[in-house]
Amino acid sequence: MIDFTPTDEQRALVDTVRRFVQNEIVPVEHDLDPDAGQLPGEVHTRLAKRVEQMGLHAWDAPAEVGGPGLDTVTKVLLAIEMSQHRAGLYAPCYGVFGGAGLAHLYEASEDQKERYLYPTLRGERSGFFALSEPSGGSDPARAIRTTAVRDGDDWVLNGGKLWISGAEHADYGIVVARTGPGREGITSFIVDVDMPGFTVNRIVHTLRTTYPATELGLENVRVPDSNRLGEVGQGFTLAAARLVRQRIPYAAGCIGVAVAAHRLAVEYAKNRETFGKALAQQQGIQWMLVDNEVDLRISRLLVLEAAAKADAGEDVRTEAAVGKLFATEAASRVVDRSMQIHGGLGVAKELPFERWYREMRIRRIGEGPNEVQRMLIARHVLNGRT
Amino acid sequence: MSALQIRSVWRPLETEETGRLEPAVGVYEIRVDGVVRRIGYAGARSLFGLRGELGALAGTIPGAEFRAEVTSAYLSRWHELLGAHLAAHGHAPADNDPGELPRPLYPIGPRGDVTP
Repeated sequence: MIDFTPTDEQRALVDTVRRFVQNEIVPVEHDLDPDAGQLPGEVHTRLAKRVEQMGLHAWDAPAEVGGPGLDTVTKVLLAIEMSQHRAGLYAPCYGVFGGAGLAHLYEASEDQKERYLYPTLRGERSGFFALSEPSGGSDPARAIRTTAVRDGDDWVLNGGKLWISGAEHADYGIVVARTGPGREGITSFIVDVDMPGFTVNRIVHTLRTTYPATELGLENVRVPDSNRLGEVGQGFTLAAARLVRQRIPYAAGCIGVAVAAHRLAVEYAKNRETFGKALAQQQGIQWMLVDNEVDLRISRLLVLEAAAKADAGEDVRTEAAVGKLFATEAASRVVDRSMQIHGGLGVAKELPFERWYREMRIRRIGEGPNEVQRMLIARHVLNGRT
Repeated sequence: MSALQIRSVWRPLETEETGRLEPAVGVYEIRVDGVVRRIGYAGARSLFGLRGELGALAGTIPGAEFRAEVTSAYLSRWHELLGAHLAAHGHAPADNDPGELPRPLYPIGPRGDVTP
């Protein structure tokens, strides 16, 4: 049985971040467009300095590259806090906590770290991760058609990518390309966006207008071999490891938004009167709030379990899939019920529910659709792993 | 014309024309003498959406024309139009305040061949 009682240090960090969100982020957010994903420049600079003073700059980075070196459980606890505001799902705290986001770069060569990772951690550069293509993304061993062909000291990349978040404002990206047949024929490259032949063709407009998806074109893009990330043929392994690890904080962000939605729903139910009594006294509403509470508690435990096992160095493919699957679906239900409790106000842009509702829908598809998570869990169930 | 651009026809930036717009969220472009001067959006905080946003500018810029597109994805579409303009012309529209632009702004789509 894993003990999830937070340590004193974790409790202090959670309190610090919670106060920061309530005192600094939420008030500023009132003045922004309901769909905004960026703070005004001077506000961002001021709040990023506050985060540095808190010792949480580049919060998700290991200590050896200059981050606070938090374990996965602590990162989950903080991710739950950071996402408890309107933009929290896709722009938690509007990025003022920094961080690389691209865990791949921790495996990069020292030269690559100097050129890409450290400037990213300092907030000077930003990157994207390009795996998915029009032919698919959940099955990279078969779906990747973008090719990389060795030519002297360079690789020449040709193809296209789809659903790539953040490329429209990035300086570089990690592009996964085919260098041979099958799953051993996939290699990752760091591509600078100013390399000739690289184009952001368009933004793919979706339910989410913050951090939008893009379509990329690669036409005879020459990438030096020094920008190859990892060994030739290791791209699949690198991508798969990233996807598994990424699912844990991805699920945590959903829980944070759901916590915020539930809190608003409880408050509203206590204050809103219908038929001569508060909504909270109506059994139908009480049951919705109870279902929210249960969904939140289970999600939290499942995601913390995956995080604790990751910290223990265990294989967390199943646990990450279970956490991602349950938390994304449960958080969707919580937001939906909370919206329903608010009636007409729930669907208006005055309140954050409609944004959370739209963006949460994407979470059942992003970082591996939930059907793929079920497939992964089924493999382990059928192979007898418990 | 790039596939990224707004498809509707250019109309004079006058009250009679802006009054016909939907009171909905969306994006717009304003041009003078064939040169796009501003790319903007009517977001959820805009009173009467595109109609209100462009109505407030109607008659204030001699010779100005506009075109608009209703879309709930007004922020990402605005970003895309600005990126396409940057790709075509190497700079943001003259009347967009640098402080209001997405940070950073990078080119999107074909370079240098978009009709202004």
